[in-house]
Amino acid sequence: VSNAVSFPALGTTAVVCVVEPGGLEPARAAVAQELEAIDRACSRFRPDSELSRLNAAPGRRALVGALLLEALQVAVRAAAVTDGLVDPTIGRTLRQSGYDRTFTLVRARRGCAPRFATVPGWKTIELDAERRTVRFPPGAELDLGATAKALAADRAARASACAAGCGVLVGLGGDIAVAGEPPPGGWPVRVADDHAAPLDGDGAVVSIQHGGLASSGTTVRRWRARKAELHHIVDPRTARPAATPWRTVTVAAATCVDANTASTAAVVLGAQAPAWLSRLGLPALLVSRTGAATRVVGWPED
Amino acid sequence: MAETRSEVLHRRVASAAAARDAGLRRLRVATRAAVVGAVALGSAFAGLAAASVHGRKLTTAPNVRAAPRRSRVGASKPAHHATGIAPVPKLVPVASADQPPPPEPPPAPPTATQAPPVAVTGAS
Repeated sequence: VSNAVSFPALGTTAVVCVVEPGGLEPARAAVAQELEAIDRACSRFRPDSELSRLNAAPGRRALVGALLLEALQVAVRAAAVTDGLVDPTIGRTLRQSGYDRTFTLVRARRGCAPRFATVPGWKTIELDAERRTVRFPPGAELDLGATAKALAADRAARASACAAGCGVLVGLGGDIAVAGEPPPGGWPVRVADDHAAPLDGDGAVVSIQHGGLASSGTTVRRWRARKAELHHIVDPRTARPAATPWRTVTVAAATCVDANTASTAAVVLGAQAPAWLSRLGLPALLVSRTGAATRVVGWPED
Repeated sequence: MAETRSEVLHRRVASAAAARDAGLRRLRVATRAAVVGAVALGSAFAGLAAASVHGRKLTTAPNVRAAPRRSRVGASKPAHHATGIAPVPKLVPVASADQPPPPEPPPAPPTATQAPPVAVTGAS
């Protein structure tokens, strides 16, 4: 691996690595373009985003752009395959619980009075792919945070590999997607609790050749609300932050979207997560709140 | 004053015609009732047949492109809307009929390596 660049994007850090140094600039430009498009379509915090306009007009059938439609389809599929554990209709409860602005601002705020709204459920969403319309009931708000970043990583990896003409790794706040021919030995990635951990910090290093790698956890995106400490992974069954034995779950899959869908669902699912991941054949590392590691489906030992 | 023979004959003919007309009216009413009943029964049986052996599998099976024009995700919108058949009570939720494929494993699991990492995965 010869070259890499990182820059802020989507409220986190984007990392672009290329096999051929000459491909770095075209890869970076392609990634930046994809991320800007995703942000315009799917951000819950940009008032001019398509998603913000959609959330402002529930109950009406709205025409959406191709990218938001794809993001909605990905979110609905994630909900379907996880039996609703990863549900895009958690937007309202997430907002009322205090996550109503970019996380930097949430963290800077000194407490808030959290409230929790019921989650209408993904089955209330009406999608018409042919007419590119979507409708959901009044009271519902969509949040694509669980899947849109992973979708962005997959799309950016494909686009940048094409632009660079070589193998590319794209990392977006811990969501990793690779495309093109990997370097010999694969792409080495450190597995940590926090995606912002230094490259030479703690945690094992694993190598991936294809697909995606994603981590979900409850230790990083946390905020204080009154006397409680909340985190951003909502259990749609309770409409509250998931009560889970896992600190961090990392999953490898054929795409970053699949990896992220599974890692988020595993956090929400709790104790049954190792068996669920095993049934799906997804290699995963689950780290409990006490630091005990559970490896499934061939996840390597440290 | 006694009726003439022709007056008696005329009265009998008129009475017979009235009886015939009444019979024809009853026949028309019975025919209409039979037609309406047949149509109603036919519709009811057609609906039952469509509900029990409808064409949803043909339009929602995997790899078939003829998806419904408008699907309420996971809710009860019969797939045979796409075929133009009259709507019937739904038997299977679209969510379970159109269950998408689950998350797919990578071609190979990650392997341990000593190489210096180029990126970090972790919660964000």
